[in-house]
Amino acid sequence: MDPAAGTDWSLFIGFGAYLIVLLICGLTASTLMKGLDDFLLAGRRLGPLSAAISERASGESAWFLLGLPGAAYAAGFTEFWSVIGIALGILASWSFIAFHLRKQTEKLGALTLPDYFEMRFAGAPFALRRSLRIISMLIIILFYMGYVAAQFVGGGKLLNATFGIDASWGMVIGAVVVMLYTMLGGFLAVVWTDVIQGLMMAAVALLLPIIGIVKLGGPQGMLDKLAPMGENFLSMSAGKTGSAFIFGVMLGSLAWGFGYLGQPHLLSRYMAIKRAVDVKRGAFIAMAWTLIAYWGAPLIGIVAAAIFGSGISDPEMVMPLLARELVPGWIAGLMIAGAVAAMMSTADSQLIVVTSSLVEDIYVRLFKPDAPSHRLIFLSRVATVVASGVALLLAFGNEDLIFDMVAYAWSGLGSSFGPPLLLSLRWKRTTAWGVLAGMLSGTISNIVWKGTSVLNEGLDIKLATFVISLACTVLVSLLTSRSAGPHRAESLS
Amino acid sequence: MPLHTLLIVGGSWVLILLLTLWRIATWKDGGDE
Repeated sequence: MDPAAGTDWSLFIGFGAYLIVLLICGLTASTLMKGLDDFLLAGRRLGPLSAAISERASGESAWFLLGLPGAAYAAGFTEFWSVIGIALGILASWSFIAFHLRKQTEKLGALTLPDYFEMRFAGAPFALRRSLRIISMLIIILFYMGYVAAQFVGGGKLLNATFGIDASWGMVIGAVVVMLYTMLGGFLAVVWTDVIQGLMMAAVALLLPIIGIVKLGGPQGMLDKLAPMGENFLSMSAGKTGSAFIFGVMLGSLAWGFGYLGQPHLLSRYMAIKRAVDVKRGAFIAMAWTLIAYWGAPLIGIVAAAIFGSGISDPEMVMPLLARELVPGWIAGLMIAGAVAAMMSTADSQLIVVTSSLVEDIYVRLFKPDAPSHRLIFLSRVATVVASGVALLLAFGNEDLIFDMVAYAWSGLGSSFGPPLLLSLRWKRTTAWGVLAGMLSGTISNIVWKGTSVLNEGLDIKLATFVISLACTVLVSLLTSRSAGPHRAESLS
Repeated sequence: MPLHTLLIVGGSWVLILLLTLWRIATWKDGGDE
């Protein structure tokens, strides 16, 4: 089946309406901008609903409605291991990190994760604290540029499959829209659009499989259609046994959950919640979204396998194909806008993180601590445009699947920041040296794992690098805690 | 469909729902301190 077969112009109605709403959000938010705090964290004014839905929309990228359904279309029910790991990761992140990070960053006056790492260890030598800031900033730029590029690649593929627009132009259109409203409205515009996008994503993940299953004559009808796909498609083991199943299939997929502990674009949502006590409500809303949307996304791929068989050349395009097959054109347009929403809601949040690293972590903290607000907002907008441009260039040069590009960045950020952040918030013996060791070991092990096929095939990169970073943070903290004294994390009260 | 698939996919949903409700019910205002 050719994904670009014909252009249904009724698709444009739903899709065009969606793009206009985004730009209105950007313009409106730009009128409320007063300082860098507004551009980077919306002045810490988010309620639990907007923080939670925004966190969910930003957390789930083009991977959610393109990569995951595509993987389920290709491999079957075994993809639910990823879903289980992800849901547990979201719950753990809201439970163990959100409240303490919100409280600590406000107390310290930190706007970004590098701010937090530098300020957290007040008794450590200046050079060590500065190293924590600079290394965490470099990690953000290293992994995020590829991550944003993956979102633009997803946008290009989607516009190509839906409207027949050349994929390169699709990438440019997606990138320009995201850049425009992010540059204009900063974090506030990103959160407003995230809420719309998060609700659209959940609606697509819930409704599309239900419509498909009804059309197939119910669950039994779907299973009958899936019979030719083979036993492995319906099994959770994907035909593997023993250690190949435990390490290669189950633990490797569950390990997606570790990544949630260290994604700066999600952690900034916790930091922006208006009152620390609202974290509990936010956790509940985020988990409700997860339980509704996440069990639906792989079902999209499974329903597509029942309807189309195994003839789709690019599995990551099963969602738009299924929408066009099952619902009228303008609704399909809205559903496809949901997938573009998944891409945009992640790319915009990541652009804000990169912008914050360039402006807050480099310009303000290292060069001009007393720069006026209007100059910082102007520089933030310039930084957003530059970061979008670089990500777009990277997107043009990359032919990896969205799934692979996202998995690498997810793993890199999760293992570089997850263990050092969690321990610095929750374990008083954590030292600045331990955090530095965790960040460096997480990053280096990711690069080594990715480039070494024996390691990559032997143990999943997300699991292995998280464990390495955790072990290094704990060991180095223990080795340095006796002499470090004041380098330890301060009391949490 | 193999029974184990149904149990893992459906059972994990129910278990995570229960875990969430338990976590929220036992949550103190100051987080989990």
